Amino acid sequence: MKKAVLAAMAAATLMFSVGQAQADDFPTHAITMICSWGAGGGSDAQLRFVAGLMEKELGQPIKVENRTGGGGAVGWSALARAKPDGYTIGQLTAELAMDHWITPAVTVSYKDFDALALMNEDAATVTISATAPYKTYEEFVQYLKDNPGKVRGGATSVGGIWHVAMGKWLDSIGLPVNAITYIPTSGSAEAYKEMAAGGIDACFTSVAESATMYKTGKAVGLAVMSDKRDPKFPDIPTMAERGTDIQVGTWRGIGLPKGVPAERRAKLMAALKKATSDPAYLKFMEDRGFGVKYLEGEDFYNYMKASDEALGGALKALGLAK
Amino acid sequence: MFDFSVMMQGLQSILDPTVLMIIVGSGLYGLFIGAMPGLTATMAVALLVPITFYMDAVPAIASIITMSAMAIFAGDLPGTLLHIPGTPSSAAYCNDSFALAKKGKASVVLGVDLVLSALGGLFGSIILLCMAPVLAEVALQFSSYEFFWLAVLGLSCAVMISSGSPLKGFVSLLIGLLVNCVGLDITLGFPRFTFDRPELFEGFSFIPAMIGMFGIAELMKNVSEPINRNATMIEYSTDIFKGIGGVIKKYWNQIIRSQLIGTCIGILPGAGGDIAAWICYGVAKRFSKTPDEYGQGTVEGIANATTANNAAISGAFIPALVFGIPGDSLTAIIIGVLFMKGLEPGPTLFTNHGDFLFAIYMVFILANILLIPLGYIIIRLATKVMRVPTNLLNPIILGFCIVGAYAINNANFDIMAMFGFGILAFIMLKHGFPVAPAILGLVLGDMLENTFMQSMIKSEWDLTSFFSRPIAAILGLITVLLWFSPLIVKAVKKGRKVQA
Repeated sequence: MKKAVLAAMAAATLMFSVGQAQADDFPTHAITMICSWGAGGGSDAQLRFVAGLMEKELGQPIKVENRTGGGGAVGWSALARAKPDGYTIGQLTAELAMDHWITPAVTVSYKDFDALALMNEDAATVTISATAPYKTYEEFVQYLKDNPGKVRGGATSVGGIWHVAMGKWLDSIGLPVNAITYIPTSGSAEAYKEMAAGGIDACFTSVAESATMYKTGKAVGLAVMSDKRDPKFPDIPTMAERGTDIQVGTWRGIGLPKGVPAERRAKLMAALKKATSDPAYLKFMEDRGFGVKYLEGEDFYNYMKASDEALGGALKALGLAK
Repeated sequence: MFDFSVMMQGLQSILDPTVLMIIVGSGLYGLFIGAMPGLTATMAVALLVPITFYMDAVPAIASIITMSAMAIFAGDLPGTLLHIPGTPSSAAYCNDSFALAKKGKASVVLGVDLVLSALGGLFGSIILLCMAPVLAEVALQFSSYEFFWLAVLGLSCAVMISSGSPLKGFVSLLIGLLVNCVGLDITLGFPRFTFDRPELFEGFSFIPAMIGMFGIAELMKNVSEPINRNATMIEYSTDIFKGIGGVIKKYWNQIIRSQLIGTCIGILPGAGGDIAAWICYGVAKRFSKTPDEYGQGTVEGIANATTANNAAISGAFIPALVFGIPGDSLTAIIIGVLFMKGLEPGPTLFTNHGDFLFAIYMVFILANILLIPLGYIIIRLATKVMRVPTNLLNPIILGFCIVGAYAINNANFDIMAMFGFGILAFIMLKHGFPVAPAILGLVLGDMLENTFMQSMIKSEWDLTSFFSRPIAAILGLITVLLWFSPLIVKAVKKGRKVQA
């Protein structure tokens, strides 16, 4: 009897101490943060900045690993398969909600992750070349109706986020998706290079990507596909003000492989929250032109779900979903 | 252009001791990164960016500029000593450098590389200083039609520069272009030869392919042909600047030509040091009196290409500073840093921040001057590699190759790809097919396909549109003339003979 009680007590202490060790000590060594995009790009810069601030909170180094390829799928597959012990976390971006629609071979989707928090959202725009014969939003829409397929649009490769934004916008104003001929480019820089040389008439990139073109007077922003105007360009109306309420944008957040213990998740979430409310972070986001949007846990998960459905629908309308 | 007071302000901001220390430090860092095969200047800059958050604008940009100038030069080191180009920009003349090194002339080659890299960089900087806004306007007139011709021109040069049979060079180029087809095509997003493997969706990464085709193939050759490389390579003089004056005197007009071409190519967004080096090497061979030496070890070809790739670096800054349009991933990062420092690229930078701009220009010049002493130290250290016996050196090279291939995407898949490309290159070399055109096919394949498809969609499949714009028509004409130039030369010679 005595023995049994002792054993039970020993077991209880053991269990308690194990539980406590997990709760108190995490993290005891370096955390790996997977970035699905290349070193030096916008996604990478943002993640590295946040990682630097989270390090201070957690007291352990965070090493950002760029696992690129497959339009992001390589990095996300690695994150989804990682051991759910909280030592591997990673960046989730809007492409997660698109890749699996376009390429059946990609199986990874938002369902494979536990959401930590959304950090950023950048809305698409309707931007036209300054040398175009149409000057206002109304004139542009009228021109599209009168000259189907005459306007050449661009911003990303086919099926990229800004191509989807174009498709959704055309759909919302009652035009077929081929009202604009889409010229695939490798990214916004190439698209604006083409626009400056007269090869592309309209772009659908984010405000941040278009900012220098607006300032140099080579492009004109007609509308932002967001629920509020951009603070840096308050003159550009939202879509709702233009009479069609669509919101399309790219987003970035941080997620975990499914099954990380709740306490560790909470610890990471607290560190992330602290990092993203740091004035240095907010200044970084403003300087680089990234839109700040913060959603935690369940809210971020639902956000990803909604984004997945919306982008899937738009890709189907463009005939790109398989 | 600049007020005297603005210039003084700019000078003051770089002559600060901390700024100078940062410049020297990042120069050494750039030399190290560039000398390691597989570690690119872009990667190095990306790692440097978080540190620049804590610096002022001038030292932040200065550190990046210095680093990239040094890295491009340092890429010549492993290319010359180990036959593995450290950066893609050194790939064009890697065969020549290594062939000369095997003849015991490593120090001559590196001396030429160092001095002409610095001269090329200085020339590009002066162009940047004098006429950035004007040139940027011209560069922005380049649309997909012009870039298409530029890609065709580059590829034509690849066939021309291949030593030996042009037919085999052409086959090699096609192999490179075929490999480049792997991945999702950008026009329709259609998966080509991907076998549903996500690693292949974006095609083979260029860096592992390059390391495999040069480095691994070289190792396999070393192992299969047991000759004592050491015995021949150990004879080198330590005086790397010996004879450099003679080289410059002999080729001064070619060097200026390559500096001009290099800077102009650098200005075009999307075309950088690698394409500049290939085109200048090709042009030099076309006009050379000794074209047979190319590929076997020609100082002339090296001189032309090495000066061009450094000249291109400064060129790439022109559209970035004037319009915020990045020419390559390096300038894209710099634009990001400028934004964070509250210095938006664009016309306002020129009107409101003249002192900053002048400081940047001065950093370019300073970095290229600094290249000579720092580069000298690094060459002295690196040429010691020559004294390591081959049987010890080979496993070390293999280690570097594996690390370099892995580093670019952190993927084991790339290591396997590197070995695959190594075996492919080994077989090609055994049968007399040059490897360089295949590499260029990999570099330029995307640009060729994308610009062709963009042009075709824009013009609704009208092939004549490639000659519809003045610059495109001129570039097209040059390319076609280049193709037929051997025939024309032959015809002219024949005509003369008949007359005589």
